[in-house]
Amino acid sequence: MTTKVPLTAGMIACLLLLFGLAAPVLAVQEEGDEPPPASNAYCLLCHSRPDQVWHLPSGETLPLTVDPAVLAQSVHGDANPDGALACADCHPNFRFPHPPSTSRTAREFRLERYAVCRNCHEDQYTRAQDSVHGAALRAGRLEAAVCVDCHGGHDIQPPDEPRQRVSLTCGRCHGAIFEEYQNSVHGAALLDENNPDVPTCINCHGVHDIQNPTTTLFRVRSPELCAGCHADAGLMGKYNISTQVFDSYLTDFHGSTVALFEHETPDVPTNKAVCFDCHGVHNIQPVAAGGASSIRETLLTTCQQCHPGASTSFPDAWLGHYPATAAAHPVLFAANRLYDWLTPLVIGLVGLVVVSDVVRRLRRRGG
Amino acid sequence: MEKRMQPESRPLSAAARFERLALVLAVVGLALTGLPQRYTQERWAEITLVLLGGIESARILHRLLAVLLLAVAIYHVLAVSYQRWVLGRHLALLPRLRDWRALLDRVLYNLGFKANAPEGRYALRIEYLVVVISVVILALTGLMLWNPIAVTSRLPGETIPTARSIHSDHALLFVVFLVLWELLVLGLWRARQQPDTAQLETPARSAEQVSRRQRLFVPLAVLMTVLVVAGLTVFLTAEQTAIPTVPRREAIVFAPQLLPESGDARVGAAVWATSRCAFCHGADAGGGVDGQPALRGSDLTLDAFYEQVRRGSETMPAFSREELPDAYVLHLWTWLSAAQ
Repeated sequence: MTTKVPLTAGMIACLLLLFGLAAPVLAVQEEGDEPPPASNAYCLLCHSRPDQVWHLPSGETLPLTVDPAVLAQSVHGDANPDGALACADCHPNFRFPHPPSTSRTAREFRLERYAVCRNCHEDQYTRAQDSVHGAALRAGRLEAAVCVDCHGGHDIQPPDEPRQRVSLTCGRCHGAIFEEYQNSVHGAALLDENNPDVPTCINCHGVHDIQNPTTTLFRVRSPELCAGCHADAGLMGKYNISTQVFDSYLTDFHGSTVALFEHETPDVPTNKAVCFDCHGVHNIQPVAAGGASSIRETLLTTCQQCHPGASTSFPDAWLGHYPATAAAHPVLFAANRLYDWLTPLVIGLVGLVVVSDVVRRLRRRGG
Repeated sequence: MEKRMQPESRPLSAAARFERLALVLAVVGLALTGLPQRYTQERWAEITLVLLGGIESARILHRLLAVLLLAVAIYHVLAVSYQRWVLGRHLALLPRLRDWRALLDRVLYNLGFKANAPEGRYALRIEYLVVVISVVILALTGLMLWNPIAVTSRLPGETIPTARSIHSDHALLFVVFLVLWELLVLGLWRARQQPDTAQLETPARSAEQVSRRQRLFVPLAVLMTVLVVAGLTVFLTAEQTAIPTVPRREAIVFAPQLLPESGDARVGAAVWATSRCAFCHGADAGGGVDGQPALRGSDLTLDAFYEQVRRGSETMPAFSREELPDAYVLHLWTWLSAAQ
């Protein structure tokens, strides 16, 4: 299939100008050598014009205009430590007339072209191929994100500056999830304050080698993901949040089981709760939102997701990531203290009897 | 008139040997399957649990052994009752004051303050007391943990972590005590070979007395056993504490065209800060250096704004849906309209 580009008066002028500029080059080419790469000025003769549009067979139009100022301000522009990239660095062998494209849609054209990023970003490209996006693409899901979907084309900016850009980028395709996230405790802090500490999408999901978050493996490893921040005393200290959440979880019935599954059989599902079963995934809210009565009601509903028969006092079996105190849990506190002294006392006394008996026998044998 | 019994005169019956074997099996098994659950973060515990087939298998085994221990306890109560009430034997299973004194004398003897070691089975009676107390504590707390929903529907929720703490702490204490005590009783003092100076026997009952009491005891024992076993069976099988599989969360993953019910100015501000809009119209949408119009406080309708973004103009590029989804356009418009 061939593509049709409307021939406008401006384009005719461009063609004539290009022919004039390209004549010496063409002369060299006739002698059998590779043509030199097209200069930016050569490309921008046409592509700086505002009316450049490609009409694809699908009926879509693809803007072909490139703003040199936007390109210059991108990460590949003047600020690039290795020097500004030229058009031909990403569009090699593109001289006029351009080779015909087989793409029928704008998406097909994007998928045809994005692999050029690999020339400089081999590692990121390879990891992206191993990601959930790469797998979806290979499975025929053409909408799966490729390099330029997240980073852009000519206007590429630092992907995490400001940090809000990260989640907004993901939100372009994952709109429903972004809508949940934007109202979560993490999302609100990111959007309202550009908070540097709350997680954006990539802090939990990774960047290029994003893995399927619905697997059993991801589930059993997720507590460690949360602990990355919530067990960090320095980080949590800034927000007066307890760092005991992870340790208390690991000593709890749920956490100890999940940890064992994670170590020994990470691919085997477990019905024990992980952090996001109770706190939510993208819609995580502050625990204290709505006050104590709200916490209690929410907790009962949460418990009943896995414990359908749970009564109103069942959630009180959960100490809330905090050690028992005399004020909050007097019976449990007393039981803990009782065994704190009873265990060493009994073992110490029995041990004393054993040791004294052994010593007596040794003395008798020696003397 | 009391008659002192010699151990040789009453060897263990086959039933008593079987009871002891079952008790040892249950206690050792419960320790092996229980202690690793207390120390799950320790490597040795993890290896033990793997050898047991995993944590869930260990829990099932622990419960089966708990049932065995309960069966041993029920049988023991019946056997002791039979000995005491039907045959009239005074077994002297629990320690008396003289047994505790004997233990003290043993320590004093070890330390050189007494010339002779006390004789008798005082160590076994003290051990028996500890076993009885421990089995009662561990059985009660274990049953609470078995059915937490049933328990918390009648008792405060705090009962469960309290039961868990006591069960775990007492099990540790019990196991360490047993190891040390058995070292004394079996290894050092050879207490089971000691003559039992405390066991007493009341005058032997006649065969007719025994037979009469048996006729009353057996149906009562059967009835009590049936009731206890039935009660335990109902209690232990009545509750499904948790659903077997946590349901997968449903989420719409790919939703680029999702349009929220209303715009969010916070998101709009973030979109502005990260999109190319600010490049021409200024970081705060107050207008560009080349005369591009200020957009803050714009009175453009949403439709007009949307049209402008999508179609562009001679001096402004159009923005595709891939680059700026409809939802983001709405958020942008909300922020720009709200800003003064």
